[in-house]
Amino acid sequence: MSFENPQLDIHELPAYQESDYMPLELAYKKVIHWISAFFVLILLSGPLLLYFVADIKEEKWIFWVAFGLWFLISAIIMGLVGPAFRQKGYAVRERDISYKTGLINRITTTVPFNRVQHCDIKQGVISRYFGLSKLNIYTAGGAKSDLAIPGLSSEKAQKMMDFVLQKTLDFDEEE
Amino acid sequence: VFVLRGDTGRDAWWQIGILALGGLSMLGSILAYFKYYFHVTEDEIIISKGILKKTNLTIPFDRVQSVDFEQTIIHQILDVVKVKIDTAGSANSELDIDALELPIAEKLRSIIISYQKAHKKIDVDDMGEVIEEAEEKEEVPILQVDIPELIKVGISQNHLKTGGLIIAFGFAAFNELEQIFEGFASEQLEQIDVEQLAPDPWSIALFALGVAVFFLFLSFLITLVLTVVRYYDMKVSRSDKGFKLVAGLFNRKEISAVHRKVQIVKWGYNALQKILGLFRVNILQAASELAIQKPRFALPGVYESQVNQFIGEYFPPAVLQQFKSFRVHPLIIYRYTLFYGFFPAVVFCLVAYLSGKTLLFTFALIFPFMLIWTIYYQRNWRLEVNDDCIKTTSGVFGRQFHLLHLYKVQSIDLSQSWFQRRRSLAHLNIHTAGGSITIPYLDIQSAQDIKNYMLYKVEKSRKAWM
Repeated sequence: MSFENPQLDIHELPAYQESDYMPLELAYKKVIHWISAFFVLILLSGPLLLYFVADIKEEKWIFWVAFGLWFLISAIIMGLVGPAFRQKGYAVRERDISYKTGLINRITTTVPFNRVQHCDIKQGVISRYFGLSKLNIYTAGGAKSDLAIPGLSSEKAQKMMDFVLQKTLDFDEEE
Repeated sequence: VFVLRGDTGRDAWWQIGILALGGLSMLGSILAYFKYYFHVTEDEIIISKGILKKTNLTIPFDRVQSVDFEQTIIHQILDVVKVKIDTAGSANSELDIDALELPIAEKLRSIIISYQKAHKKIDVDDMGEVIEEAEEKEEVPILQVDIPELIKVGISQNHLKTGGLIIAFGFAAFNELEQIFEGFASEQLEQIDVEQLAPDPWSIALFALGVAVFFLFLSFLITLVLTVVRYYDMKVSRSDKGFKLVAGLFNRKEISAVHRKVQIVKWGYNALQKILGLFRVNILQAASELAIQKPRFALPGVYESQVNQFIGEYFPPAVLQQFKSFRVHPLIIYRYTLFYGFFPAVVFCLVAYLSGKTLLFTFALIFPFMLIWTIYYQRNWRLEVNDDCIKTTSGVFGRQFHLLHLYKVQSIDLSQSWFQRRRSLAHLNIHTAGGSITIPYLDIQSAQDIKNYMLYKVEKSRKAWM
């Protein structure tokens, strides 16, 4: 048996940050828009409660300030949907899978295939309407180390899950 | 409640009700005892229990993960044990037999072990601890802590933590009493006219000092007692499969660290432990999230040579060489001081100014304190990486070390806040099955290099992480 131990140049290693990240399905932007809209509507209950329940007949301006605040926050939330969507993306390589997300706090998580425990596909109500699914990839490292890729078309999610599981099996057999 | 004077109606009925309930629950326990059966067939254990609702439980031996014994003080008096049978699977997979005579319990355990041995379930990953216990014969005791030693260990624990708990407990107790006595205490407190007492700053300072000393003394005593109770007659032994720790005064617990399951070795010392030359050691093992509440393998105070024995078990000296060292960026000082020192100080000053209570200005001292704290925090932080391992060092007064094999890593993420992005910095989070490690404020180039290197190592590795 020949023994090889070539010196390793750390800068020659494949770099995860140079992968081409695939964007999520465009329809997923609509999903985030809808979810944000629901959230914003729930927030509206604040000023409305103030108007109908609290006793501010004399000082109407309080309501208008609250309403203005709500409008501002809502505009920011809805306005950030687009940029936030553009930050999301995934990259599949020969031996691992990465997902990046986050507008203000950007996180890139990478899971090697030989550490995958199991996978599943989930579908929310809104996502189902748009024919989208979420692929969850679980490792033994607990919730923080798991990977969840939303906004995949249902066929794509299924295909990716099969691919990941096949890869995981392949590496298991190697071992 | 038990004093039953035949007074007027309603009170007595209420008391009879309570007594009846107590009687019923006692009757229930007795009936439950007579209705609790278990029997063992060739390859499974069957338990039937229940008075009104009958339950039959069948557990195949090959699903059993571990059989643990536990003894509270009542168990010890009656010479019985509580048997906990842990199985692989979902949340309600644990089965307890509350009280079993020791010989029977041991027989049950040996039946399960010999079944698993005979059926060669040993190579399956999930089959851990039971097999280990079958080989207890080769156990070598390596550590025993006697009472004087234990007191020394107790002295060196983190008393501030206990102090915090006492204060929290004190507040809770005060609230409870308040509700019982309907605000009696706060009324009394309000009646003390602070202005009339005319406290000069010195007496206030003296009073504060007195309270602080009292609290420190109290928390010191409590930690001492807790440590002695928890680690009474601590024995650590070593076998081919792992370490075993047995300790406890009222509740003797047996915790094992199985070599294969070990993910991270964590050790360190606080300021007090440093003076006494003591270390605490924590062996973090792979655990499902459901089993997080399981007792951890933790030693409260051992000497350096013993620490090295634990580390050497998993990391022979040859793999702990040629580390490349990385440091945390100094900008962390600026950021942490700003958020945890400067902003709170500004708030305190504002409150002090607006309320006119000049004494509150002293809280602004948090700013210089945090500044010095973070300067040392940054200075002491080290990340070291070599061909096999990652080692981190952190701490201000004491030190905390983490050491793990690269191939134990499950996943890695890099996170950048808006500020970090502008300054090309990042947090590096390393996740293992035994917990995560965060390395803050690395420069992005190093962080990416380390991540790529670790991914390369993990993906190339053929070793099973468990």
